[in-house]
Amino acid sequence: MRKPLYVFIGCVMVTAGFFLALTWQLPGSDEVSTLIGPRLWPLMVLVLMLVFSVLLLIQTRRKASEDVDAESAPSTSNTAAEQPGRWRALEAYRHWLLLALVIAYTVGMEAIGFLPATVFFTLLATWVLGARQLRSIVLTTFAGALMVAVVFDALLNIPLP
Amino acid sequence: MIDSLLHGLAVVLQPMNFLILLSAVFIGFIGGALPGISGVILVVILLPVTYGMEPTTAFMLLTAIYASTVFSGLITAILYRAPGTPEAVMTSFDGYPMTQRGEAGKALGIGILSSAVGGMVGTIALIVFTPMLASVALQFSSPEFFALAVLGLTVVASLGGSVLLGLIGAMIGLFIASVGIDPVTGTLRYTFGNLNLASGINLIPIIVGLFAISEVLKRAQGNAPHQTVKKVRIRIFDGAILKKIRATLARSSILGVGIGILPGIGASTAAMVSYSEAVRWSKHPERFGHGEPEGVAAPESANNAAAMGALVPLFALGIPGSGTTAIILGAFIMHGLQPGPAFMSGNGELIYAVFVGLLLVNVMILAFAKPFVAVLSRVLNVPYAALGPIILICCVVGTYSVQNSMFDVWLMLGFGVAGFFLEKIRFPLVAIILGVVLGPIAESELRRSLAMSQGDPSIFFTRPISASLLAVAIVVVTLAIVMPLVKRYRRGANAAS
Repeated sequence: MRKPLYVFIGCVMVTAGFFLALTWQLPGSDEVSTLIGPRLWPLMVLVLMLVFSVLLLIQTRRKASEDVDAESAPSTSNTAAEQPGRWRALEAYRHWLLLALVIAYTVGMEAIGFLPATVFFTLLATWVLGARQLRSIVLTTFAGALMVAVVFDALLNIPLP
Repeated sequence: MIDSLLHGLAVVLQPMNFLILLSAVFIGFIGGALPGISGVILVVILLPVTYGMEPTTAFMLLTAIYASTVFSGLITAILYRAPGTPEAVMTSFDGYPMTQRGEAGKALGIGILSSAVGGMVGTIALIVFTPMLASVALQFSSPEFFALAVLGLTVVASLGGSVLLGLIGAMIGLFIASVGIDPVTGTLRYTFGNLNLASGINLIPIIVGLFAISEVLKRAQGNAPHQTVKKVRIRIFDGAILKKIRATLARSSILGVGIGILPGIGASTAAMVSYSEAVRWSKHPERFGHGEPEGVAAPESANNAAAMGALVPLFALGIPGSGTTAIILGAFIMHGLQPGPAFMSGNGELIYAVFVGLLLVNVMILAFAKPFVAVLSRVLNVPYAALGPIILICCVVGTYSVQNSMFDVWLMLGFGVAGFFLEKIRFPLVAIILGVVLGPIAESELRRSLAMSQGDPSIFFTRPISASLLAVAIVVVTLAIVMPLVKRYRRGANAAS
C-alpha cells in the first residue's frame, strides 16, 4: 500500500502547489472593498493541505523504515491470477470495462436518447459484471429501462435527453 | 412541543408521506442487509430522487433510510458474520456463534428488539435535546459558528484509518467548496473560464461519484461473495430473554445516545463501547464472544441510539455527528435549508415530522422485521451483476436530473475514478464531503468574525464559547494523532521487555 500512498502524497503536493500559485493571483484584502479578500481562505486551506501532506510523508517514511523486517516476510500470492475460468482476462479489467461503458452510456444518452442508451448499457454492463444467463440479463435490462422510464421520466418529470 | 409532535404526526400520516416512509423503511432494510450497500450509499443514490420532492417528504425518506439501515446491518452479521453495515460489526461477535449453535432466530429476535428499543430511546433524546441545544446555540455569533464548523471537521478524527489522511481529505473538500464565485466580492475562483464552475461544484456529483461509482468499480474488480438466507424462526418477545437483557438494553441505549450526540464519535464506536461495558458489568464475562445474548443486545441498542443521537448536533447546531449525517447535512443544503440554531423556529413542521417519522420507523422495525427476513431471502439471491448496472443507471440519471447538466455527470465520473483510487489507500472519503459541506459556513463565518474584530484573530480565543469549542476540536485531533503513537510506543516497550 506504500507506493500508492507516495503517489497520492505527490499528487496532493503538486496540485496544492499549482493552485497555490493561482491563489496568489486572486485579489488580497488591500485590493477589494471588504476587510478580508477572496484569497485568504483558499490560501489557508492550501497551506494546511501542504503541511498535512508533508507530515503524512514523514509518517509514511518512518513507518517504512520500521517495517523493513516485516516486508522481508514471504509475500502472499496473487489470488486473482490463480483463479481459473474462461473469463479470467475479462475479470482482470472488468472495472475499467464497466467505467468505459458508463462513459459510453453518458455519451450515448445525448446521441441516441436515454431509453435506448439505458437498454444497451444494462445489457452490456450485466454481462461485464459476470451474468451469463440470458434470463437474468434480459430481466435486469427490463428493470433498468423501466426504472428510468417510470421513476425519472414519468414520476419525477425530469427532461431526459 | 406536544402540539408540534401532533402536527408532525398529522404530516407523517398523510397518505403519500406515510407511503414514502414505509417504502424508505423497506429500502433501508434491504440496503442495510446487503453487504456493500451501506446506509451512506443508499442515501447517496436517493439524494437526486429527493430533489424534486417537498423538503419534509425528502427528509422523512432520507432519515428513515438512515435509521433502518443501521438496524438491518445486523441480519447478515448474525447469519453469516458479514455485517451489512460497519455499525453491526460488534453484533457478529456473539450473534454468529448463536447462529452456529442453532439459535439464529433467538439472536435475530434479540437484535430486532434491541434495535427498536435503542432507536426509540435515541429518538426521544433527539426530540428532547434538540430544542434545548438549539436555544442555547441561538446566543451564538460568527466566531462561535466558525468554531462549530471547525469542531464539525474534527469528525475526520473518528472516521478510522490515518487521521492525517482525514485532515487532507477535509482540506480537499474545503478547497473544492471555494471553487466558483466568491459570494462576498464576486471574484471568480478556479473556474478556468468554464461557466459551469461559476456557481461552484454541485454536491451531488461529488457524493455520488466518491461513494456509489467507486463502490461499484471496487466490487467489479473483486469477486463479491454471493449469499443466500436460511429459513429461521424469529421470536422477538421472549420473557426470559427480556428479563436477562433489560439492564443491558437500558445502559447501552443511554450510553449510545450520549456517544452519538458527541460530534465525531459515531454509532460504530458506541457499539464497541457498550459491548465492552456489557462485558465489564456481566457476571459471566467469559461467555462473551461465544454466543451471549447480551453481546447482541448491547451493540444493537447502542448503535441505533447513537445513530439517532448523531442527529441532535445536526439539527441543533448544523454540524454532523457522523459520516452519514454529513451527507444528510449536504442534502439539507441542496434543498436550500441550513440546519442550525435558527432552523428549529423556521422549519418546525419539517423537524417534527422527521422526529415522528423516526419514532414510527422504530415501531415498523418491530412490526416488519420478521416478514422482512423472509423477503430478504429472495433479495439476497439477486446477484451483483444485476444490482451494479441498476445502481450505475441511478447514479448517471440521478446526477443529470438535479440540474439537467451533463457537466455534472462528467464531474461525477471523475470523482468516481478518484474515489476508486483513494479507497486503495484506505482514504476516508467522508472527510472530503465534510469539507465541501462545512467549507462555505466556515469561510463566511471566518470573514464575518474578522470583520467584527477589525482583522484581529484573537476574537476566537477571547469569547468563551468559541474558545471552548476550538479547544475541544484541538484536543480531539491531538488525541487522535497522539494515542496511536502512545500505543505503538507501549507495544514497543512491552516487546523489548
